[in-house]
Amino acid sequence: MNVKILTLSALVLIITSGCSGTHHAYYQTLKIAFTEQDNAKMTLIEVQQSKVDVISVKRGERPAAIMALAYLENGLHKWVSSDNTMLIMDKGRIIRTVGLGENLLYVSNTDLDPLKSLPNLSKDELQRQIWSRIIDRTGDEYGYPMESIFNQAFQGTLQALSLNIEANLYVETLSYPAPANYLQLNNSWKNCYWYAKNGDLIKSIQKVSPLSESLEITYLSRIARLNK
Amino acid sequence: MAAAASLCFAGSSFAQENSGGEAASSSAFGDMNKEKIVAGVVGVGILGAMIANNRGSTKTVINGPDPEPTCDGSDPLVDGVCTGTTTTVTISGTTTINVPVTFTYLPTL
Repeated sequence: MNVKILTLSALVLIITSGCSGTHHAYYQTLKIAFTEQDNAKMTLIEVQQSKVDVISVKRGERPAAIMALAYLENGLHKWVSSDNTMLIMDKGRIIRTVGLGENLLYVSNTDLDPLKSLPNLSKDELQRQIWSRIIDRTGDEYGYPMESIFNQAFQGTLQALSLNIEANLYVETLSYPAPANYLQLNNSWKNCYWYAKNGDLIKSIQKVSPLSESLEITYLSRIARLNK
Repeated sequence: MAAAASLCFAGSSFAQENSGGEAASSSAFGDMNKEKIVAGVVGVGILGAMIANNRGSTKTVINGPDPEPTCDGSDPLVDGVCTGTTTTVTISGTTTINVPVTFTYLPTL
């Protein structure tokens, strides 16, 4: 990626070097285009001092944002951002989004979501888990069936808040077999969930449908509590 | 048994979590809807702009020498101002008195 960017930048600069009146404007535009946008970040101390639980959320290729826990109602976590979007999660599963442009409106059968008992399942139990549900999305995408299977955990080390955390990674393979209203090239994808040794979900990467942007969620406050 | 243990575990985990209610968004920062800049699109746009600029023509305006300011007749030009003279005639009895009066005006270009 960097090589491509450097090559393109060099090419454009060489070509524009003859246009003395406009090359500066081109340079400034390219500079803006290729400057990486800053992620919203917090240090371990800032997270520990925060009165509200926080998560870091990276939506697709956008810079990461810090979201705060607004409500914990009936076991559902409702996280809000500074620009008034909301993620509603059930034991780590995104079951509704608000304010993202294209939103997840409804997920059925959440009571049987294996994610609710994932760290406590044996390998055999895990491989038997198949979860079927129906989802509704904005853009007239209603009643689409979706199915998940889970793979066994992989042990690894996760880095967050300058900490190295031992974690178990679970991979969920999702399929979206129904025909859609739009051209759909990929009907299957994977979501990832990292659990700390104490069973807390500390990170996930989820896509709620094939064409959705992925949401990479790091549970900063939970990670900070692990360090106590 | 496992389910019950899981429930207990989840309960204890939740007990540590702090929600902020309506004021929670003040603890959040960074935008979830921030537009992403697609570098490739910008590059193509700039390339298009360069081609368009190169195909364009520019009218060249050649400025000649500045015109000389001129005053009427033989009026002198001093510090960008022309000074003219006129004569006011006053008749007092049998005596005619001519009084020269000066006035200033801007030169013509």
